[in-house]
Amino acid sequence: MINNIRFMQTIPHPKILLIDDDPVLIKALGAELIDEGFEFISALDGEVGLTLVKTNVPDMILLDLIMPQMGGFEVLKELKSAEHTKNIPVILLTNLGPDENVRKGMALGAVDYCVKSSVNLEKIVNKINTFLAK
Amino acid sequence: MVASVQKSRINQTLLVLISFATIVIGFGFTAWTWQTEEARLEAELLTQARMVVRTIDPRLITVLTGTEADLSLPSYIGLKERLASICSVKENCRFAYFTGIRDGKIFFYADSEPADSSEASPAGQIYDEAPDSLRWAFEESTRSIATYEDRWGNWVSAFVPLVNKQTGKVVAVFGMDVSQKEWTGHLIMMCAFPLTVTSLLVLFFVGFYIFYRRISKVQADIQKSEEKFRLLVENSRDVIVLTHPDGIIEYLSPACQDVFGWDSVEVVGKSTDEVMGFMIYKEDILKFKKIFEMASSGQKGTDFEYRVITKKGEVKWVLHSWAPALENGKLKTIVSVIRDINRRKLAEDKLRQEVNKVNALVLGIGDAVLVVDKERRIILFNRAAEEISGFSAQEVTGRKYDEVLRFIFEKDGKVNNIFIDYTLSSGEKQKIDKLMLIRKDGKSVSIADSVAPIRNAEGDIVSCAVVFRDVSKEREVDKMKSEFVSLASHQLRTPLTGIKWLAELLLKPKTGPLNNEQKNFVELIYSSNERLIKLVSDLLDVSHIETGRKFTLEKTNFDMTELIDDLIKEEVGQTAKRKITLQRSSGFPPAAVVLADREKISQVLLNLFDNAIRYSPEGSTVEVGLQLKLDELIVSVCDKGIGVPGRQQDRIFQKFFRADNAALVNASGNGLGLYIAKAMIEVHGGKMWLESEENKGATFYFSLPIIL
Repeated sequence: MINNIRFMQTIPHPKILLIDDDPVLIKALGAELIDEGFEFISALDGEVGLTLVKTNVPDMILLDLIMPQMGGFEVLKELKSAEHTKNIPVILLTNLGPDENVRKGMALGAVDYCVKSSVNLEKIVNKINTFLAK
Repeated sequence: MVASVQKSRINQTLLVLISFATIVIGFGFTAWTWQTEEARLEAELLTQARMVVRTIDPRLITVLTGTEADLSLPSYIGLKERLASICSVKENCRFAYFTGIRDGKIFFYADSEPADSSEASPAGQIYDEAPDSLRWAFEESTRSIATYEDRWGNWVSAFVPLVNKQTGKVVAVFGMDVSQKEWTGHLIMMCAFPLTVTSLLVLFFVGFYIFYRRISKVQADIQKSEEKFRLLVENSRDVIVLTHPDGIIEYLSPACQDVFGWDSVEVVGKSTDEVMGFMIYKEDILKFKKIFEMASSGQKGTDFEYRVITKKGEVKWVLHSWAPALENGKLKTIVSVIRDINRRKLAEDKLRQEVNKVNALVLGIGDAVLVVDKERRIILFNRAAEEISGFSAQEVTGRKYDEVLRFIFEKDGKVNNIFIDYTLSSGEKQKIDKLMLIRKDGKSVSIADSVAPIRNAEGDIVSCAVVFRDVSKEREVDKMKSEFVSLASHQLRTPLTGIKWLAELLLKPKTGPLNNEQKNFVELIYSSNERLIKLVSDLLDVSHIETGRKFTLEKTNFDMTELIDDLIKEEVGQTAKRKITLQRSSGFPPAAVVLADREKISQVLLNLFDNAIRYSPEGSTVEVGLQLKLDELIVSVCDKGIGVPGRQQDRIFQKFFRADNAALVNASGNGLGLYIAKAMIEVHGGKMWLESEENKGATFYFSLPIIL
């Protein structure tokens, strides 16, 4: 179930986890992040993502909201309720509007959000860097 | 009427004439009686006096001297005795006496009075007051009657001369006095009868006249009132019928001709049974029979309607009322009034049909109709209202609407009944939206439509009509539609994002060198994809606007100056490409905090910036202005670009509309940006407009209210 995992052996390469059900997006964003020097891990649905977080704690999570099986909100709730994951910054990565879903996600503890179709990869990288620097 | 007045006047004159004649004749007769009686009395007195004189021997007088010396003479004494006896015999005689004349002076020889009487006139006493008649008796030897006054009183006297037959000379004059009082009394007595008769006759005539006047007046009054009634009856448009209790029609007023077409002569004298045969519509004969039965039993009846057949054979509606006329407690006549109500009846039928139509329409219409009067009572509740609410019209009609029906807000379930009261008092029409009605079973249904006042002819509000329909399904469809659009746009965006990111990667030098043509293709893929992404996003917004859900606003307080600065920075890529300067204009306030949805306002601003950059000539400046007013702030974006042609400025905010010159410059616009931007500003309670001149530039403005 875990695929497209590439480990960046050298530290301090921050580890970014992307949970998204679309393999194309994982591929594209993964390529960019690796290219930009991040360690990139990904999961195609929420449950897998949560399992992965337990064994392989990332420095930041990019989380899609709408996914089959377990949606982004549940993942976010789980993450924020567990002691060892609640401090990992989560950026919502969604294609739902900026709308009430995004607000709900922000209320659940996400640090920021991106509407996927309106941001380019460069912007995402900038955002990640901004939050990691904090 | 004129004739009768004349007749009465003639009678009156005749009566006055008769009375007058009676008075004249009566008094004439009385006067005649007086005169005749007086003449008779005079003659009688004179005759008596003559009789006396005839029995007296003139020598008895001639021996007397007419002086005191006579007193002792036997002839004097004899004469005096004779006179006294005459006086006592003649009942009415007061004095009897003989007078003589000497040296022109009249004196007494002797009288009837005893010598010792104070009223006695002794021989020789001069009689100065003697009337002319007495003197004439001496001088001319005439007999006469005289009425006069002397020292002894008022008298009627007969004077008869005593003549010496041998010498023919007047020896003395005999006088016989009757008291004038007695004389007149006698005459009055004699006239009493004719006078009484006359007076009685006059009194009778006056009495008769007064009585006659009274009678005439009463008669005239009766005549007048009869005349009035006759006019009423004859000119009445209603037919007035008098029917004998046995059913014979005794009278029919002339209106019979107009109402039934029959002349009253043709009907009077016939029995009701006969009349029924040809004048009453056969389906109503039973009704008519019943009316007559009731009437002949002495009952009163009003407003019975039935149909009659006119002489021409037409069927007509009439209204029949009647009353019994009693005489000594016995039914004498039935007085009926029959009115032609055909027109009214036809109009009523027509009206009823119309009302039925309207009722059928209102009651049967698919939307619920609820009419509430000024007292807030339900006066109409149609079938659809019954179906939606679960209440029957019977249950709610007449009750105050808020005792039965409960309207609540869709969003918070709070009771909202005041909207009906509001329309009743203000007369304002309102839209019903986002309301729910609590059904009889406790469930709630979403309803929508309107409430409107109903006014009378004077324009006063008399009630209000609440029209609503069950929109639960519509709400569901709306929700589904909105969810579908959201989902569809989400589904579309995911592959678009993939294309976008992969194209971006391809363009990165690290990914691999592309030749110029390949690079150009990838760039085109990227920009086309961007347009698609924009289109999907705009369509989502349009869908939100169209479904009436508009936008859910997430309002926060933010500083507009800051937002503008941020967005100017964000546009750097675009401006650099076209060498355009995007900057604040002068007079920018230091800060302008506004409560609004930051994301939405950003979207609006970016749209305006993009347009300004896109349609401005290279190297030009786009200025962003910000003005703070008392209750609003105004943002302007001013460019020196192609502008909007004047004739198209009205339509620039319409969906899918693109100005001709803009379409030439940039084929990729979808015509939704300004439409969405305006809708977003309006949702905030602001306005959006433009000022522009073709080829000289355009300034787009929007205002946002500042709530203090």
